[in-house]
Amino acid sequence: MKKQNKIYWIVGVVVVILIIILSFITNRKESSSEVVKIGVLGDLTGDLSSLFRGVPRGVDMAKLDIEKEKDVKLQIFLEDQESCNPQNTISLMNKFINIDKVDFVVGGSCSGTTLVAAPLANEGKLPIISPVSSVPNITEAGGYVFRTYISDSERTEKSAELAYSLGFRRMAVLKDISAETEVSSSSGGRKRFEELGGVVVSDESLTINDKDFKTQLSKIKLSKPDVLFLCVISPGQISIITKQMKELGLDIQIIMPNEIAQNNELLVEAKEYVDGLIYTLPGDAPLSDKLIQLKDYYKLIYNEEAIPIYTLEAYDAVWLGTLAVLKSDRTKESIKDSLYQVSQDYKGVSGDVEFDENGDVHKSVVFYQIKDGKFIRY
Amino acid sequence: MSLSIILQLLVNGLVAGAIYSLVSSGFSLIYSVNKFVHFAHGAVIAFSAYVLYYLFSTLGISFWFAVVLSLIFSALLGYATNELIYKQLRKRKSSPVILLVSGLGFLIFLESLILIFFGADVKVINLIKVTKGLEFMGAIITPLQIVIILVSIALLIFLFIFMKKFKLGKAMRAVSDNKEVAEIVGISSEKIYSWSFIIGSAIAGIAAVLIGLEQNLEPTMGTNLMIKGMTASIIGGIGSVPGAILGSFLLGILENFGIWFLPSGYKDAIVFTLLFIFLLFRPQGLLGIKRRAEK
Repeated sequence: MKKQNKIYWIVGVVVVILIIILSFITNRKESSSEVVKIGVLGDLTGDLSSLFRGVPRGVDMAKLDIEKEKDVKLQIFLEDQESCNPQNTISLMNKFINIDKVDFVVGGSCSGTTLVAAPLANEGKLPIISPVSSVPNITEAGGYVFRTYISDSERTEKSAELAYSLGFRRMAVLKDISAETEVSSSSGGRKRFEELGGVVVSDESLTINDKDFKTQLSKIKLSKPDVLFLCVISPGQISIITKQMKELGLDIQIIMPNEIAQNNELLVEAKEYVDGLIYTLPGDAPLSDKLIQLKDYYKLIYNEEAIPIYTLEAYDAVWLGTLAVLKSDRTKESIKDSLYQVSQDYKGVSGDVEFDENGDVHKSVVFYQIKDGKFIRY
Repeated sequence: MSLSIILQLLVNGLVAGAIYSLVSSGFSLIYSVNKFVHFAHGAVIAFSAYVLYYLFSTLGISFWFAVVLSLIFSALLGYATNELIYKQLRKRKSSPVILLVSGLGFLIFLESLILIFFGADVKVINLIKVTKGLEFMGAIITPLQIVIILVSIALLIFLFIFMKKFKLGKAMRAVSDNKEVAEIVGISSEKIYSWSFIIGSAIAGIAAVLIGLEQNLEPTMGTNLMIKGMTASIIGGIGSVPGAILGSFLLGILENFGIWFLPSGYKDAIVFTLLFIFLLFRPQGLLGIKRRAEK
């Protein structure tokens, strides 16, 4: 027993010495003025990890380019929210503020986690730039909350207008009530469609874990709609819904006011069901040399033809944040103030990323359609 | 509500119930013999479905051969789980709670392995061309869904006969009732535990094939399936295999009729309300009293 106690003591002392050495090394790194510390609220595991895989990749590509072009070293703290788990967001934000002492944060992904992170960001005076979140009320989330992704309000209205302009008058809505952004998208689209003179004949819901939609689709079918306004966040659910629609003989146009259908795997695995689906993408960035270079680089590194959604927005977020840090006097307030300034001159690869007074960006809305196994501009 | 709608909801409920029963029957068989919650059962289903996907869609092996291989794989995975984890813990006299926690850990481990090997992207086993289903008095059902219902009913009958008439089934019931007495009459409880895992996991393999064809594959599909399968087992009478299957159908039908009247987002609320009602007013489940009377 005594011998065991001795071993515990020796192990304990070794661990304490290691901690002291490590903290000394870390502090030495902190003292370097050329290091910009970036926290990334990633989603590396769970069902949504595939959907948000563009975020860490965009961050990596930006790091590479910035370190090449600027005399600065980026220290990335990539952490996992486990597919939009708000509990993790709180812990990670506290870690970024109190332990890592990052200069700014890229994230969150789901609007819900960004809204959870917002009060902590404002209180800790830590700028966060989300490359994904789109729910409209992020606009009022506070002075330290920015995003390089567009707000839902504009694209949901445009999607409803498209449905009306295509001659559809009877809309059915199917929305994911566990995703804040989808709830707001569906109500925005529904409102606009009714303003235009259309009728919403059915409004059904689902949650992120659902895999069976036959009863919701049976209800929708009974209401005889001519268009389905589909607001879901999971590419897997798009595949099952479109498959079950076909099985039930519900052959109507699907319009999605978001970008989730822009998924290469969906195109490969569910090609025969998703054909004809219309969805939106933000921005219409000019094909600059930088964008061409990024596309080539992406293909080379990740062996994928198309850059996944949110990659370019994450790339821009890292650039904007880093430029703001370099322009600032390294206090959090001045980093926040600099973000507005640098965004005026920075040419985004994801489109126009000039922040308005609320930290939002305004990009055009573009419609795409899945046709014969390809994403085609509509 | 017209007859065609009632029929459609019944069909939807039966299909959902049949899927739950494919999960709950194997789970319940293992529980009835081993007397602990084998939470990793869901991950065995998920892993087997991914193995089928890999063999059929990636390697291009013929479907039926791939099915046989994935069934063998799932049975072996179940056997290995028992031998390498549960048996070792039993030797150390671990309580059922420890076994449950280790099963939960193994579930997360298997899900992580799926994520590493196959990624989190959408995976679909594209065997059957998707067309409009067969129409019967206004209700629509696909041939695959008919097969799923028939297989789950066949499983109910098979497991009932197996447990009552087969030597191995009787031995399983003996170990389940009283392990010590069963050992006195020469039944090796460890052997029976192993067989329960092999048979229960082979059923998980059947579930993997049918669920894989009906739905998408996702790394976390096992957890979601286990939640419904376990709920159905409790409703049916935990430890009773026929009860678990009946509970599954009850759950599927109530869930689908419920969301016709309530907003569809309440689907899970209906499931757990039913669970609480059973836990409060009939904790022994649907077939509980009958089994007690038999004793």
